[in-house]
Amino acid sequence: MIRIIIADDHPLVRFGMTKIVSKDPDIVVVGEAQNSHEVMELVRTRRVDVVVLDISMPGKNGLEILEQLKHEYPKIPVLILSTHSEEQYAVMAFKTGAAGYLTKRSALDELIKAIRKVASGGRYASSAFDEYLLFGLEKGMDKPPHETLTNREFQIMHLIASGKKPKAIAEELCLSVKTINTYRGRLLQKIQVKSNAELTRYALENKLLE
Amino acid sequence: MKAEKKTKENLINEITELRKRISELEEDDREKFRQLRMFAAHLQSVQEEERTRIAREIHDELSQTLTMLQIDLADFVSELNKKDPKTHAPFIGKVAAISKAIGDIIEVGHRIAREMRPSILDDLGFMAAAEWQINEFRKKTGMKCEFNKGHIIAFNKEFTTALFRILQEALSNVARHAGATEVIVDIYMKDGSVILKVEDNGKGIEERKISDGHSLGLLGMRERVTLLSGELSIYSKPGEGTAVIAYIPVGRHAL
Repeated sequence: MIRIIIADDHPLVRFGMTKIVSKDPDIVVVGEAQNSHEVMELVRTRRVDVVVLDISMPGKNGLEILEQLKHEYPKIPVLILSTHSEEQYAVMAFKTGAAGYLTKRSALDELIKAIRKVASGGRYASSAFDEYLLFGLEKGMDKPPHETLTNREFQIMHLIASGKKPKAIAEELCLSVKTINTYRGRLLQKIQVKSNAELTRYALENKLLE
Repeated sequence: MKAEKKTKENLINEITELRKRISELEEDDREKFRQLRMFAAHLQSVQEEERTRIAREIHDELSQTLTMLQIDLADFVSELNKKDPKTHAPFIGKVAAISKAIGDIIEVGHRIAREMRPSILDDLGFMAAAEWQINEFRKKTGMKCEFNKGHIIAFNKEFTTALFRILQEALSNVARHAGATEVIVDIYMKDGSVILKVEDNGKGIEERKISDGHSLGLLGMRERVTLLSGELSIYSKPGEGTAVIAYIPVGRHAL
């Protein structure tokens, strides 16, 4: 039994996706959500094996919800559902922690397969994408650490390295100081440095402050 | 003698008056030019907003609704199959053809939306959009295109849009006029400015064409760069390719 929730602001899409997965008796839709708040509420209150998440929701977009989900519930695999077939979106989704990326157009043929794959701990990308997309990411281990940062993390690293205090950064980005510190912790870990001073030095050495 | 002095004085007065008038007119002209430029900038931003809205509408509403229609049709087919597959076989083929046609319409919609304003620019930022655009350029023209990307910071929408449109214009000039086989694009930051360089190995541009107003593409690029207090340089000699270099200070546009 695979318990999933479907998050999409479009009722028609939720309806369509539910219809597709109903063909598989092992997959049960335990909830539907139309915004980030509802997603978090469902994940908190129900046992969920896979989150099927639209990449472009109003307000907090899918990638931001994905980041929050991976932060609070790192073990629940998230399958991103998207109208975008450009590979840059898939790359960004995987970078942010998605277990799968599926275009809505391929959902009809691949949704069930994708849910099963990510539920068992695997990764899935729409067959429209080249395999190298995934391999490229796997190979990414020899990339400099800052290239593994998400956009937001990169932005915050930049602000910290230019000497801004968490409070100032929080105000500038309209986020809470707590969130900024969470990002800071994560990016320090990714870059493998221990302090702001080391971070600044790293940024300078890699010419990231120009 | 007295009369002569009077005439001279008159003349001097007249000249002073004329000079004043000229400088007033010049000032007037500059003001009009400034207004015209502001108006052009305003038109540009209105156009971008409109494009964004239409592209999103096509992408989010139209294409999603059509996709769901395809899912409905697939459902319909499986119902038919369950009941009496033999009698329904011809209908099933018909429905499959309809579904395929819907798929083609979705594809056209996506193409139109992307050509208006690629959503990737708003969702993933300038570098991802540039990478995508360069890939498209490679696919469309078959030219070899090297892309060297440095690290850039995040900028606001106005700056992102201008930079992206400059890149598009530069690439489309290469595709249309240069007769090139190889292109190199460099984008990086130096001393608080973004530097965008597009070099090709094509036939080059004559010097008079670089500066005359007839090349609207070049004019458009120059206008966008000037609005952001940047500089646009074009280096070219007939037979030796062309390099377009935009040098734009990020300043208040940094996020």
